[in-house]
Amino acid sequence: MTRHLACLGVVGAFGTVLLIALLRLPAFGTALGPLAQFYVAHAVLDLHVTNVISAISYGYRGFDTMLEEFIFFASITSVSIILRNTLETNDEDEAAARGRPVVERSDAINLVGLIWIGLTVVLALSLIVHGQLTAGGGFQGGAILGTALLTVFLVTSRKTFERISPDVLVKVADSAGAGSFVVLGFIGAVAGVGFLGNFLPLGEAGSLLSGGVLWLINLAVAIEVSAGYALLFKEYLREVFDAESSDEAASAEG
Amino acid sequence: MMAWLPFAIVGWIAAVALYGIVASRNLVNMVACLTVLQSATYLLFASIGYVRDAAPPILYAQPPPERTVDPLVQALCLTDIVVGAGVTAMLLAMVLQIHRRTDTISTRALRERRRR
Repeated sequence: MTRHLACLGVVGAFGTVLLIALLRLPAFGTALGPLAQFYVAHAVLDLHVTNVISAISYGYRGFDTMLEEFIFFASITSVSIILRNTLETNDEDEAAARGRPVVERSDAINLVGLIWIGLTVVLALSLIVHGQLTAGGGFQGGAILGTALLTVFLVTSRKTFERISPDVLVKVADSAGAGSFVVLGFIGAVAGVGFLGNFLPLGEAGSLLSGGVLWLINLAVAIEVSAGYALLFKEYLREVFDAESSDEAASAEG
Repeated sequence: MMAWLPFAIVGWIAAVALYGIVASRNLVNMVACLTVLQSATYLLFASIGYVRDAAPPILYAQPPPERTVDPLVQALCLTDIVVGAGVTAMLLAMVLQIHRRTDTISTRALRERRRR
């Protein structure tokens, strides 16, 4: 009881200080600050990109986005390291032989799944490719593509999920996405426009191939995020399915 | 008078989530409360960036809109959401590993274990 009171006291103090600080912010709904006004005024002229948020993320503040992507990459890698398993069994027939029920998929789930996965993948690819034109971008589209892959597992089986996301492809895509961000930056440095500077023709604002190196960074981030989510799901599925079968094998022998 | 309501909600969600982190007895509950605390920061970003009677910062239409909402805090927020999901996954993997090694995810049991 005293522990709960102490917790409440600490949280109450923190909440009061936070509320006082928040109420000193500029009033809700007032005009933009000077830096945001600069970005809105200059994004189309400097970078030929109509989505100001993408211009900030991958253009003006591309270095911050690169480091955030490394945080994501590090967290996915640490999941692989933490959930390392010594026994690896991928045999679903063995699992069925042990008495686990094998349920047949209904036609309704197949149909709804097919439509749902198709629409989700198309939406994700559209958001990725049009990242510099309208709302969307690499992070958003990559996350949606990752959930489309998980929906494949939910609708079908683990075998199909493993078939569409082979180990080598997912790991290479993850590393290549993170690495090509840095490589694009270094190409800019070598070309004389500074790290992550633009060295490609900028194109016309509003067309698909505009933004120069910003569009390539967009694609690299999308590949990295979607491959990272796929790797995450694979690791957790391996933990659940293979740990079960290895536990059962251990208890059957011992 | 309604102008302070978004910030009050941010403060309330942050305080409740912090209480959950400090006082929770289950490690999975603690990770979920951390996710709620991250949601409070996203709400703070959205509240800071809002401008009344303004368009989204997409200048695709001709002529472009005169007033737009703040794009800078949105750019900060969107990478944060995706990275937050990855970090939550890593924390849950750690909880799984703790359960593998010690067969419990109760903070009270783990504290007893450490004291021994």
